[in-house]
Amino acid sequence: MLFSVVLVEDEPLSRIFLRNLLIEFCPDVHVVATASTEEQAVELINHHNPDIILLDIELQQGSGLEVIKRIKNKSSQVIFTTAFDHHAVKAIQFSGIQYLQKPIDLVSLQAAISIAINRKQSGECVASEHLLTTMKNDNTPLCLAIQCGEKMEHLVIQHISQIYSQDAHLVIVAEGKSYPISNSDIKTYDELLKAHNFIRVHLNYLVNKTHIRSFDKKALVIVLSDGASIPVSAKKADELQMRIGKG
Amino acid sequence: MNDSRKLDELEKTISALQIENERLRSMFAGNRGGDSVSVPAQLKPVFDLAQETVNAYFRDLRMDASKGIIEINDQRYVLVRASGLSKGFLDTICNLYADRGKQEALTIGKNFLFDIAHVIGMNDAKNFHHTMHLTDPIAKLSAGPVHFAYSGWAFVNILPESNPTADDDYYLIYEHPYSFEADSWQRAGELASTTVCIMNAGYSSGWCEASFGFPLTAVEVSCIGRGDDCCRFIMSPPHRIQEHLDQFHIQTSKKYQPQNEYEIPTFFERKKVEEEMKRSQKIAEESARSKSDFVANMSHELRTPLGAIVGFTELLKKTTLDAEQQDYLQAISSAGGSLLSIINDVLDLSKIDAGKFLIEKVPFSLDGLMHSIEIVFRGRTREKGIQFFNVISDNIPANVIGDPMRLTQVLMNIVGNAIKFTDKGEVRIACEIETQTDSDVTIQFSVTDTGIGIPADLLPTIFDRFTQASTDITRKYGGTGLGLAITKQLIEMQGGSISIGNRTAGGTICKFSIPYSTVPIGVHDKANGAATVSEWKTQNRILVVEDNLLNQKLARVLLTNLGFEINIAENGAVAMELLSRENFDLILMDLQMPVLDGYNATKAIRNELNISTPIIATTAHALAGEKEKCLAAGMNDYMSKPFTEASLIRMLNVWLTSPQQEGKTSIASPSTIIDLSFLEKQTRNNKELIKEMAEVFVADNPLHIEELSNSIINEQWERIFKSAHLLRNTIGFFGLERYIGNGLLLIEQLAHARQNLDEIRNQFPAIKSVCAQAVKELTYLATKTSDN
Repeated sequence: MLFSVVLVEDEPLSRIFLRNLLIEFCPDVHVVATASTEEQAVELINHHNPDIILLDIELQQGSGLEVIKRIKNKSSQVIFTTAFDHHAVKAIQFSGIQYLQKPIDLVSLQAAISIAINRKQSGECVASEHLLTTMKNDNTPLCLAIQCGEKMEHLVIQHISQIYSQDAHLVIVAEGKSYPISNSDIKTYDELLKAHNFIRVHLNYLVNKTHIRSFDKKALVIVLSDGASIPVSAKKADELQMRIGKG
Repeated sequence: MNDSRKLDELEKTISALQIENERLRSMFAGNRGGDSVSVPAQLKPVFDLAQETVNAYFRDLRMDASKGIIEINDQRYVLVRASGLSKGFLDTICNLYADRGKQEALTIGKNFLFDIAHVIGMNDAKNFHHTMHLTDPIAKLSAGPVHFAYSGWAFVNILPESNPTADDDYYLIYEHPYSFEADSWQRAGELASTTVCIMNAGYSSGWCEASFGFPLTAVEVSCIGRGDDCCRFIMSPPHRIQEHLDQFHIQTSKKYQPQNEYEIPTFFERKKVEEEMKRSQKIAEESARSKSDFVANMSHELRTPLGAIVGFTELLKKTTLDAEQQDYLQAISSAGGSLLSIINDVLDLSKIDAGKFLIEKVPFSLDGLMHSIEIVFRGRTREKGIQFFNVISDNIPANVIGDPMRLTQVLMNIVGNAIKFTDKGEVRIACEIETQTDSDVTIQFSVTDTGIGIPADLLPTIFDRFTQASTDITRKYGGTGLGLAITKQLIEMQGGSISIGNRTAGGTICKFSIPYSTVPIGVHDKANGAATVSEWKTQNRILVVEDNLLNQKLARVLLTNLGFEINIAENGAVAMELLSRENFDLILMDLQMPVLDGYNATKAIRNELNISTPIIATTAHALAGEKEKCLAAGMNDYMSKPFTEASLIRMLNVWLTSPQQEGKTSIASPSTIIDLSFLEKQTRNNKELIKEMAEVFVADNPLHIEELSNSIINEQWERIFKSAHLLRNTIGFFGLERYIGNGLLLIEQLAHARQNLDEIRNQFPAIKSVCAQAVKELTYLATKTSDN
């Protein structure tokens, strides 16, 4: 079965290049339409209802984010494309929508297409909903998308109490439930969640400050609201004390 | 009429001069009937003879003020006001050396005078002896006091205790009732604090020395200038003078001055001291050299195992690890990195001290270098949340001739410091022309930050070695305190200068200038290319000649990962053997190896095997001059160990894709900035597509540039943002992001934040010129491939 793709890209070089890569090296998809403005994109996507949309965030006329807002059927798998360091990247990361950094290399494109196909087949389509919510909420995400095995989960950030690394994978704890995730490291989440009251208290532990019930500085242990005890590294004790103290 | 009057006047002048000459002659020749020297009775006959000789000498005096000439016996003489040589001179020296205290200043002045007079005395004597054909030492000597009196120095009264023999026992005790020097002080109405007849003593001892042919010195033991009853001197060989002074002191029972106040001229002493100093300086230099050799060797010994640690850490990072292991590995990696940088600092310093640091003169792109600096630091500034500006004045020449490595080192250090000590605000590099001529340009670099600044009391010593603002700084920020000292020396070795200070608005400003030669456009340094993997022939075979097992292993893993087939030879002889049987595309050659070292192996490969395969020297001895030695031996390039993957790739890019190699893949030739490796790799070298994209770029890019330019002129933020973004989307295909990627990104960020239009304007010219160059190159590419 061939999966349909609408390519939204207004820059001719990228369009030629991406089309070529899709046609030559992605045998599972076929490009049904190419758009170069927001208007065109909305019209063509509504018309073709494609399985996958390759969507440039920044369009000369309009915006890829607006396209997401305006299309009727939200079940298409979106893959954003963006030049390095776009300001919307963080919001997209939280939502779980895939994005590719330009100039796009073939291996990443093939990987993204294959994930999109998987998600399409398993009927997941909530990622863009979450992105829309984030955009409505002054670009502050409420949920964090995680890939839990085959399945994508969206956890409410406030509900996450801790993230820890164990053996070769990470575990995210939210509302008493543990979500193991692979192919990631604690540093990525540290970066991502810094602005959301998370503190790296230990090489292997990241905790949500709002979930800390008590901190024993002598014993270097935190107790969380769900009763879990977390070790604190001696180096982090002062910083932690200060940040808890400040409220 | 006119002429005859002139003639009359001339004749009058001549006769006036003749009268004057006669008058002077009678004055000089006349000794008013008396003796010109007083000596003990037994010496009288000798001195009477001397007086006749001197009188004959002085008889022939001519003076011609119209030419400014005074001559006696065909020798020019100069009349100098006596007190100018004595009191005037000493006063000047005392003022000049006032900071040393009055006593020491006076001693310095006296030593000057003694030295001068001693030399004049010796030369006057030699000339007089020669002119008057004197050969007997006593005759030579006895003319001295008489000549002395005739030339106005002083009248000499030689005392009976004297013993003027031509041997070690030579001893002369004499008085000057009318010394010109003492007279200078008397006439000035001033009482000197010390004996003042220094030139007299110097001149007399010089004359006597020339007469007898062995060293003599003289000390004035009492002086009219100081208020004593007469000017009295003792003359003897220098090594006996103290003994005679002691003797004299006992005899006169402290009549004149305390014993320890006799000032013995340091003329002879000084010569000894100078020789001693020269000798000890030589010893010091030798020991400094052996010290820095030791440091260099030691650093080398440290670097080799550390190189293995760092290298294998990098390899370990690429294996599958859990988060904890990654964190530990990161700690090893960063500790290893900082240890390596400290060792490199120490090595640099020892090289500077040993004078082994050579500054290169090669063409390079300042613009490109500044951008790579920016790329290096962009990440760190973003992490710290501070802004980073890199402003290159647009009239900077595209290429200059100088030392890009040392400039990079200097900038890395200064910019690194600025970022290290800045927690909020910005770090800004500016680069502009300070002065320019047809063939030279001096570039001023300034690095400003909004950081913690430097305490004012530490500014004067900031460039000293091992200086940091405080030990707190060391604790908090690390470092050896060597960085700025090295930086300053590196800049000065390039003929530049550096200054550092605090900004009134807070933070630090560091400015430095370096002179460069300018080059005609088109000269391009190939080795400056970024470390991206080109399309090498997959069947490339590399021979690694290396005796160290760890280094063998590291090279094998790195090169195998890059897809090469590699062979290892543990010394030059084994390499020769392999090369005589098999073909290789590249040889990495260690220099120090047993059996046959790298230099000799290379010579043999070139001369005996006649193989021209590129040979790259690899060595941990990163000493300047090494590279030249390698090239002289027939190697093509040089890479210092421990080499990183990036430096290896850069080297492979240069030597495996160079035109002399068959199967060269890049079609963009002659290429300066365009890099097609990305497109070639991603499209699996789809030439048709690449050509189509080149055509689109050539057609669209000028329009995009114009759009960006117009939007900047019209100050339309949204349009600036969009057009910069569009451009940034396109440049990556042709490898231009390393030149203008950050500039465009900065414009985008500023436009998005709607601030700092000036900075946007600053960034634009570089973007425009790089794009114009790219369009030019791609036009060439498009037409060239369409010919095929």
